[in-house]
Amino acid sequence: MSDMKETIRNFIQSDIANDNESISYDTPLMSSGIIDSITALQLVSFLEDTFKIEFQPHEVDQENLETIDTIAKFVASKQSGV
Amino acid sequence: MVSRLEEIIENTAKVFPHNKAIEDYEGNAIDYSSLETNIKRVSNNFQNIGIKPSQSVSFILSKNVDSILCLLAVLHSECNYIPIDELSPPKRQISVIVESRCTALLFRESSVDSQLLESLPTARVHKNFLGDISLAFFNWENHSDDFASKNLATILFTSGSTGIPKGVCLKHENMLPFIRWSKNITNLTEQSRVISIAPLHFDLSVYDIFSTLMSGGCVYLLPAKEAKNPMLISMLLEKWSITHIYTTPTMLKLIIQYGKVEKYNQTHLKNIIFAGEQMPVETLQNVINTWPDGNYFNFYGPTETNVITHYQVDTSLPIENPIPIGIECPYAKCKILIDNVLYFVEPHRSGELVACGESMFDQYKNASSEHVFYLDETGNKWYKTGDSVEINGNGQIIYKGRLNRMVKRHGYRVELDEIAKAMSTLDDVSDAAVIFADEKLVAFYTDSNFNISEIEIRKHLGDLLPVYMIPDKFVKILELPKSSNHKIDYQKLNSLLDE
Repeated sequence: MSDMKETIRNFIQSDIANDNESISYDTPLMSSGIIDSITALQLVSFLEDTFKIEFQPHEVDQENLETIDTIAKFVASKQSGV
Repeated sequence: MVSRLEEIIENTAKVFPHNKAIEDYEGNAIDYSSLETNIKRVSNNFQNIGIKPSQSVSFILSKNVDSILCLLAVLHSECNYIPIDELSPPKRQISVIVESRCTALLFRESSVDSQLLESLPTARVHKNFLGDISLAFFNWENHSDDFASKNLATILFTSGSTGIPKGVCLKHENMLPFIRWSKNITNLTEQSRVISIAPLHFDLSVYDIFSTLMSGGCVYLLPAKEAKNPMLISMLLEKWSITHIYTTPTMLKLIIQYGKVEKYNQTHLKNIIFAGEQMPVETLQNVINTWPDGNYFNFYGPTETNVITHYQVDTSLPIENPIPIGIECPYAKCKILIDNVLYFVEPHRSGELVACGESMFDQYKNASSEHVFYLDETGNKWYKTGDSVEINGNGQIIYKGRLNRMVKRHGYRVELDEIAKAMSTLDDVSDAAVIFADEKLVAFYTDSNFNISEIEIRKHLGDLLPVYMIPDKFVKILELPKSSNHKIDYQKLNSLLDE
């Protein structure tokens, strides 16, 4: 799980956030504007490819993508088929 | 002939009473006959609780059947509607309400900030006026409304360079020419199924709602949050068998890029209309490949005039680069302003596009409109679009760019100075300037104490501005470059980016 969070953090830090601020696992991403509706889709593509999961259209959502913690939880639940 | 927007529904209900008029994301639907009956009922309820003709009613409502019913009932009560972005921060919503001095506000308690009504001179609230929609009345001190008119249909607020959004007043007679024309040219019929992506405060929604309802077709409503999800829209194109879409090039690009279009049957989609920003050639090529054998329209026009030029893509020829904004609409007149002299739209002219005609507004609710008009020698008022254009060899108008410091982002107008003013309200930011470079908003700021983080600035701006106005990049500098007359040197800022 912490490997997964680190992978997600690296992607957000390098491909989406363009500053030197450190993003922690509970930093709000969507409500703060670090991730917008367009970069959310880049993130979803990355998660789908990296973790071999598929988002349903309604799951591209602040609820699932708000923090690295919630993203990891969502990915894990997808992988376990829940 | 229809002379007011609400008469559109009365007319269509006579011809297609049992056609489905509106369906929403929650699955509610209504046909024309019940829509007409319900509009009258809700309009009566408005009058019973004190709404009078010529008043303004603002909206913070996610789009669904009840919201549109309220909107149409407001018009039926001879009032005007003021749509407010439900996703913009409460401070900005309050600013629009205050600037508009509206009589009342329609809202859902679940989706407005709990402090909103307390920050306004709220007189009384009618809870659950219609379903979960409530209505608040305001009591403005010393308010005499010179604008009050039964002819006013809506006030659309757009970004203002002074830092305060300005309200474009549009009358029924301004909106109807576009509605009639767009219905015909985009082949809307009683068989059409139109997806409504644009929120009500974005003028693309005029087509979705009114042009569709004039045709007897059905408009499918997406709430604001869902309307930002291209993957979901792609799925709904199949689910609702959508025939018409009117949105920004950015949204079309995202649907193709992220919508997994190969998974869905979108073969009904035959009329694709885009506006709000320049359509890139590559995106248009992808649009044609993804939804072939369709009609593709480029619409152009500022909120002040609605659509004034149009271009239909001829797919038998190679795509023109750049894609023209086309020729003037039948109800509009366009000319080119060069060194304060008007010229006809003729091949190889270039200058500022100006327009007049039935669709043009008269005034802003809360700002002077004098400087936006050019008066010709016969006293005709021409709206200065602020857009630099060039006429190609075929007499088609080509968009070149902006003449002033306003940019288009995701189809929305953004005044760069409004963002800079919002940044300057931070104690630690002593000076700020915003530029638009490579399609990105870049904010420069000085932070005398070196103690504010980018995340803090983002959070602060998030409280003041809608998401599409938040800069993509922040650059901290010691001092903003100024020209000799102490104005910010934007060219210098641009060159700083390349270093």
